[in-house]
Amino acid sequence: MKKTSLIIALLAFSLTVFAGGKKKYQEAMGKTLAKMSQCQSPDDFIALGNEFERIAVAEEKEWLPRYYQVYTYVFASFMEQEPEVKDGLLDKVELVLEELEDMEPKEAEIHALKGQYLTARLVVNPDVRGPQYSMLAEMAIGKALRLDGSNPRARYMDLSFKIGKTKYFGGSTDQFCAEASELLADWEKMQSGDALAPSWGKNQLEGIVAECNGNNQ
Amino acid sequence: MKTLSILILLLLSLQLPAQTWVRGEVRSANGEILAGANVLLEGTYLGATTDTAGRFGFAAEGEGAGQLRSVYMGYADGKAEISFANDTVDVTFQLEEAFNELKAVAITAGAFEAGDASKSATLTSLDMVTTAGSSGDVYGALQTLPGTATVGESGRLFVRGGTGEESQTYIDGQMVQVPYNSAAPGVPTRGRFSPFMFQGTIFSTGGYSAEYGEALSSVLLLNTHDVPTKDRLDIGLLTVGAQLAGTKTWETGSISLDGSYTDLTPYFGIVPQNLSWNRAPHSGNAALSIRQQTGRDGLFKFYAGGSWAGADLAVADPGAASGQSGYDLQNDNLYLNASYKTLIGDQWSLQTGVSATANPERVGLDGATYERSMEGWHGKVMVKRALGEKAKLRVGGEVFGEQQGDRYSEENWTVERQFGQAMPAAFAEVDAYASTRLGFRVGGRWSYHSYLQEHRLAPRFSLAWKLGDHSSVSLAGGRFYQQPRAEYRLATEALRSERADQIVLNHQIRRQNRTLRTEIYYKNYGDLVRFSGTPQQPTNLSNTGDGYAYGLDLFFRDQKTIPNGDYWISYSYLQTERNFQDFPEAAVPTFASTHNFNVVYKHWISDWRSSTGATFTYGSPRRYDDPNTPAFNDGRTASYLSFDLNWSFLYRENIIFHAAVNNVPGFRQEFGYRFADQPNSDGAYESVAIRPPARRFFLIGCFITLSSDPADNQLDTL
Repeated sequence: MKKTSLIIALLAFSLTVFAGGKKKYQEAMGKTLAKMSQCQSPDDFIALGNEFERIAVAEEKEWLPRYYQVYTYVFASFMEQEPEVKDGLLDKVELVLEELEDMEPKEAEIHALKGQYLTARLVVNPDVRGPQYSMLAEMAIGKALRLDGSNPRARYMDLSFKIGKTKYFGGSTDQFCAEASELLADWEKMQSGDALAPSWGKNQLEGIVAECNGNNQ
Repeated sequence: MKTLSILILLLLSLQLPAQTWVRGEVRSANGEILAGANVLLEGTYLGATTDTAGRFGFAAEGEGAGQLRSVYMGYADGKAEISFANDTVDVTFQLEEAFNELKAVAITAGAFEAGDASKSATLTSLDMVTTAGSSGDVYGALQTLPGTATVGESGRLFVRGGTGEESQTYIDGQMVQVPYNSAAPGVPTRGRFSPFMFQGTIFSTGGYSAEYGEALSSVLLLNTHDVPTKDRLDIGLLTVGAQLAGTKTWETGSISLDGSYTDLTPYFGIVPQNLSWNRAPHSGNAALSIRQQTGRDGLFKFYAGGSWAGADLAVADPGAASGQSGYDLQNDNLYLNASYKTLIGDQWSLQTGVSATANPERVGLDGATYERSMEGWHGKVMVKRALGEKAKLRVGGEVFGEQQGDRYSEENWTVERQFGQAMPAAFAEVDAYASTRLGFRVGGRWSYHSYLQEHRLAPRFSLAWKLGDHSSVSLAGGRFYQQPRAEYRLATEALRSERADQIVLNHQIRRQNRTLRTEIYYKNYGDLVRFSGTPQQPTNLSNTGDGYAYGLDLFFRDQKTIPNGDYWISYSYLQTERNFQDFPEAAVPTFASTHNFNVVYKHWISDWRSSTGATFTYGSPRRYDDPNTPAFNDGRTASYLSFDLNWSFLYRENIIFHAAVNNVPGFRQEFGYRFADQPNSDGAYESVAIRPPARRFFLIGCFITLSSDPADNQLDTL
């Protein structure tokens, strides 16, 4: 009896230690992700990106901490004003993205995020970088769609590019607007159930759909 | 039970670690505050980000000692050990700047470098095509950069007092033996390759790497696109012809087919020409290119292009009884280029390739035929290896082969000449950095010419020093060899390579889309070929010629001041003399002009979806020899002036209309004079001016792209 209880206790202990590692990671990620909504300044986003980096350093095999590190740094670069500061942040992003692509070469989310990074590079100097970086961004989004045609973020960015261009050239955006509404309606279905999985893009898509509807009136 | 209590105690002790407040600051080794640095406790998620004062603080828990790390982009990680025995720990990090090749001073600061993916580019393929006056020609666009001279009757690159032959073109590391189309005398040529083929260009006007030989003046390094990602079909309709290109892609590769036909007959029907054409220039081109990725880091590229061109005209010739002489040109060209590059392990990278050219040409002269054949090939293997963090070694070997021949025949008289040779060469070079601010390159090149039976050793060096975040100076130089042109070697094998010693000093300031580049140089030529007789029939060839060139090149580009506007200004000052070819004495050669000045302006008009461009070019008078005067090469042409405009309208994103006019004001351009061989009855040599075929050149075109993606972006292929 004593022996059995000891074995059970030991077993339970080892299980908690094992599960605890994963749980600890998930809790930390969940907690850090929750702080995203409170970020207001570029410094806030950088600090949050550094939190993700700390998790990434401790959890070498997980790609999501690095993913969110990229995401927050890209966000910070959009908010910064000085071109050199923007590029400085994106230089770091570039390195982390390379690591991410090596870790998970088939992950559509990473290529979709790369599209955001390239857009951020473009925004630093649209006159000079416009043609090259819009092409590179489209290539990254195209790659994401080839890996996973139903990735909602890749689809949203793809539609956003198409609508932007069609408007510029004076064509009809009806088809793309319809696709955008469809995507919005199906968003939750396409979104991974994992609470830690990337989920951004819905707000931006809502903006596009609202603008589409505004145009039709 | 005892075991269990120990276990519980153990668990309790694990759950109650010591609490320690870790605080401090992160600075650079120079004492600069590093805000936004990440400080972390290894093996945990704990840590903090430094504030604007570079300070941080966080509560850490642990047993015994822990490893603290600070991470900041561009700096080596800082490490410190902390003890959890204390309630508070103070840590000051002083981070050393990390060596980063991308941030380090560019060793070849003298080269005009542009990669579409690079963040700061000097001249991209889009720049080339949207440069007014370039007519979509790589070489035309490069002639707006300093160091080049406009030699309107040639169209080739003439760099810093060098002839057109002294500039060499490489595609994906392989030499292009015949980079220009064939053209009749006095009619400017164009490059054989479209700017759109290339994702990166490096144009070096002096002091280039030991990797490149057989060029006395400059090298143009063109790198073709890697794997395209979209299927597409491109259609182009122009006033001078039509083109069609298709690309099929797959996950790891692509295949493209390209065809075009150009015929100037309809254009000459509308725009009168001052040359009498029996048959206007016409040509057909076809090209196939294949790209295949192999493994993770390998890329195989193959290109095969063929062209068939012809033109027939009567050249104004004051020596001929009719005042004209016939020139009926036919030229075929085949160019193959295969290259492969890959990484081998972490340390090595391999680049290898072969190229081959066949370029038969036939010229019908009045009552005679001149045929010229040229077959060449080039094989090259190069490996690169990192020597630690701050140095890189490049070693390579290559073999050039050529078979040259010509045949001159009149009714009952034929002269035929030919030779063939292989030329092995090897090069080695080290790039090394003392720090991000100071880098140098030193290397050399050996070659052996089996036909001329000579070994040649050419040392090269380059040194660059970053003065500040935005400015650098560099010094480059070395010895450069090039075989005499094939026409001379056909006449005799008793020649040596021609030689140029160069030294170039460069200063560059680059700040937020403004670049100011100043360069001074000195070139000393030796062993230049001299001969008696005429250039067509040289006799007594020898390497007794020499010469020099020195000057100043200025380049300013500003993409910032004017919103949606981009302009650059180039100025070249050149002093040169040489005694070569059939010169009786040292003199300024006909292709040199003391001052060359270009202003290129481009403006994107968003509301009109239009890209517009204007280019102004000035070249000071060039020399020519007037046999009516005793002095040699003392005639001076009028100054060269041109003002060119272009306009591209994006009707739809996949439909572009393009219009261009060269020399809008109709400046009277002259490039020299052609004199009669013999004096007339009054004892005077009669002459005609060499002028462009027409005062202005117009081009209107429409480019349509059909892609697998109906909303494909076409700006990049404007």
